[in-house]
Amino acid sequence: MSRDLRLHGDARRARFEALAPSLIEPLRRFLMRRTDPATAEDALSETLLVCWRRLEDAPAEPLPWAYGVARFCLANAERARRRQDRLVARITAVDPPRDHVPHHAAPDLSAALARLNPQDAELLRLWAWEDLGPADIAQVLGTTANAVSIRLHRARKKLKELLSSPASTGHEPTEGRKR
Amino acid sequence: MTDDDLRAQLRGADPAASLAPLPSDRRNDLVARAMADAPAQVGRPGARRPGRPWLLAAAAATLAAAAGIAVGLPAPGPDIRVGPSASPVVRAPIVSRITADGSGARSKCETPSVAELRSQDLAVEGTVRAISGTVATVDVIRVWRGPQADVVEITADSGTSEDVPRFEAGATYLIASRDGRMHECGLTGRAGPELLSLYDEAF
Repeated sequence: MSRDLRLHGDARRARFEALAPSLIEPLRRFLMRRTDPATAEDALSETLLVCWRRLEDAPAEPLPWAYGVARFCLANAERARRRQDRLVARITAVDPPRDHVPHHAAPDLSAALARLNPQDAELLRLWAWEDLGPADIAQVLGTTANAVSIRLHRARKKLKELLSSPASTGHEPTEGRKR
Repeated sequence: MTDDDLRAQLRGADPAASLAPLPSDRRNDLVARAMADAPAQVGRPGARRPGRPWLLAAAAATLAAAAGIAVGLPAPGPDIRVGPSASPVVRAPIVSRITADGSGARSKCETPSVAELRSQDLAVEGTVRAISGTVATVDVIRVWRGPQADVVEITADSGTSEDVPRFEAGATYLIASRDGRMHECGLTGRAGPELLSLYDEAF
């Protein structure tokens, strides 16, 4: 005996209308922390669209899942923006590293984050700004809570090291993990 | 420094700390629009909105910032703001260039390993935008190591276009290189789960 548990028509709309409004502010903040306002706005619309289309995938606590969708849409929106921005001129890759974040109250912290490997920086953002625990972070990133715990612990350690040696801030390409 | 201290410090630098919430009518509008959109390809933002005036919106934000106007509500147009220092990002693309040796490197290949990957100075994920002659142009999606490039251009070194056959336009690859020479022994390839997990592990 099987039941079709999917909602259709009005019931589906009602579910989305109940769920989506409480996602919007967290999603806006998530996006605004990671890119410029115009790209964030595009990505927000796309994220809501994908959440609507994949509503059946939304868990009972949908926010980490929605962050995962937002990451995907942000990557797409950034690609589209880069294509629009692109000039024909060829410029060799040089510093400074791109800083997506429009404004930082603490430039040292911003510089330290930029020096981390992008995955570690993202772990720390999800931990500190989105205020997620390892299980939720794992859901956002599509990995295991265990892997997150280990990487997060290492990332925190690295950031602490960077912050405690301010003389080392400066322009360098983002490095991978150093031994 | 404790973890709590670190978190407090990070929170103190939260760029969205002063982000004013959207008014409820704007929120409802966003929800309604998501449900109203006709099915279009996911992953192509802007495809359904030709002529989206994001440049105008960004320019407006710059003007507001220059005039020192504290951005508040209500206002027509986009409502996402970050504060007086918001500025649009429009700048020249950053391009990394590497060459594909193609001249028998394959005969000396060892099994791809994390250690080998860590010795590379560039490791990115990207989608091939175009192949023209001996040059493959790749739009970068993600950077594990190396400069935050927008684009990687891969030039086949030996002069024949056969050496860039593995790159197909529209496909996504993981690409590693050292000193400007692309690694061809298994560290560069299609972005499949095995290779992805190797990159994740290495960095």
